[in-house]
Amino acid sequence: MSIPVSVITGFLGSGKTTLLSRLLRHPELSETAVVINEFGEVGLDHLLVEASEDSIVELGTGCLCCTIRDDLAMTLGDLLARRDRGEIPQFRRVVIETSGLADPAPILHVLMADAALAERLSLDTVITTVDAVNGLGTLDEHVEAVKQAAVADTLLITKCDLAAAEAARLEARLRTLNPAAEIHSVAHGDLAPERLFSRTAYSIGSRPVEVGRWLEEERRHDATGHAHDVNRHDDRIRAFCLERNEPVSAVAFSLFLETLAEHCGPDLLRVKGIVEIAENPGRPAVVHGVQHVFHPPEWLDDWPGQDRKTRFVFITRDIPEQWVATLLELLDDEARETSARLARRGPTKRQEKLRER
Amino acid sequence: MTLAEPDVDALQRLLEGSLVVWRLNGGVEPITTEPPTVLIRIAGDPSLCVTWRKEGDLPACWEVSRAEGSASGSVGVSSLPRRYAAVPGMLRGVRAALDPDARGGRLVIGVG
Repeated sequence: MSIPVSVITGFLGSGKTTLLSRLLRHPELSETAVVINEFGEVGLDHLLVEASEDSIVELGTGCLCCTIRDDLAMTLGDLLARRDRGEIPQFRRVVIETSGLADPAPILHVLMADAALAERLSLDTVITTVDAVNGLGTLDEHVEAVKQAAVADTLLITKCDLAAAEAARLEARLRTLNPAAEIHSVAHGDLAPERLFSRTAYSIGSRPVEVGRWLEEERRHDATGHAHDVNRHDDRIRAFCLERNEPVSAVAFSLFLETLAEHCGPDLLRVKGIVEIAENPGRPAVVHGVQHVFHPPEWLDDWPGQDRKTRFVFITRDIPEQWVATLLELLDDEARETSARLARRGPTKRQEKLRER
Repeated sequence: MTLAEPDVDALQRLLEGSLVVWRLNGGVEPITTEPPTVLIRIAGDPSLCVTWRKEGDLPACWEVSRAEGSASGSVGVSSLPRRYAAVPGMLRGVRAALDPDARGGRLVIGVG
């Protein structure tokens, strides 16, 4: 069984480290390995079992803390190796805190695409902190903050006790930016761990009931009617849902993902979808991608509900919704036409010989 | 739009959106519906013609040619067309012609 990995991200000063400091004191995290930037930032001195120059320390609660090295993959690999050798406790969860200026996508890519890590670790959820006091301005000025919010499964509005009115405006903006994320208000990092770490947002194959909610688009940016400000980074971000009544051919589905990755990889902030593949009726494929990196499709035994339409939810930057829809339509039509033409032509002589064998 | 039912509007939508995705300043005009043909202008000047071609029993294909002319005058084709069997190839060819330095990405299917 793979170990779930949660990523905590958020802009500088958004309360990320405060949240982590509070979480580390919870006994519920006693079997967790936390990968952080610096021990000193989190104020762990009074919790340390013993001072150590080692990059991994054990806290009084039993939680492990590890500083991140230059290479996240190496850091995680080392953590697992030391666990296997019995040098550190058998942690059951990993939490990674990113730096405040980090683009979370490369971190997610490591967890999704590194073959060695994927055997042992699975990306669980992305939690982003956004500061109620400065959050609106931060989103205006820093594209990293917008990207951090766009890829989140859970958005935590922090410092709500200091700016209640701004928190409400911030929540409305975040809902437009990322309609499917859960949003919670937090003061002083006070939040029960089970509200963050039990979601298995990325492991939906075993929880088909979650798929419907997981794909839910609560609001569409264009419906808000507010004026677009070209200076706001998140006005270039669009969240939209693409639906289809007809199944998609397997070839078209593959070409669709390839074409999206080829032409707009960095701008494809996040994609989620449940797809009826023509060649595999009644067993939809669930897809999930961050930029050009996609999880392998998971196949459900059945549709999670009455609605059996293929649908994708996109969070994108500068990608027209109509372009995505037209692309899928053209690719599927071409694939079907090619299949029909080959069927009319019949097997080639070589194919007939292979069949005879 | 299918290879058996060409639709110049869908071709225009696809290429207009592509210019936005590629961050190129340009526009797409329909030229003819049979065969479906569009003209791509970059910064107002004609740049490429893209058409769908079906001749006899041969498989249909997409043709991409260089266009020449002025912003307001007549437009003609100035080079032999490059042919592509399907939409992905056509998009790649159009992009390469309009933005030779552009680098496309690559889909990565993770392992977990």
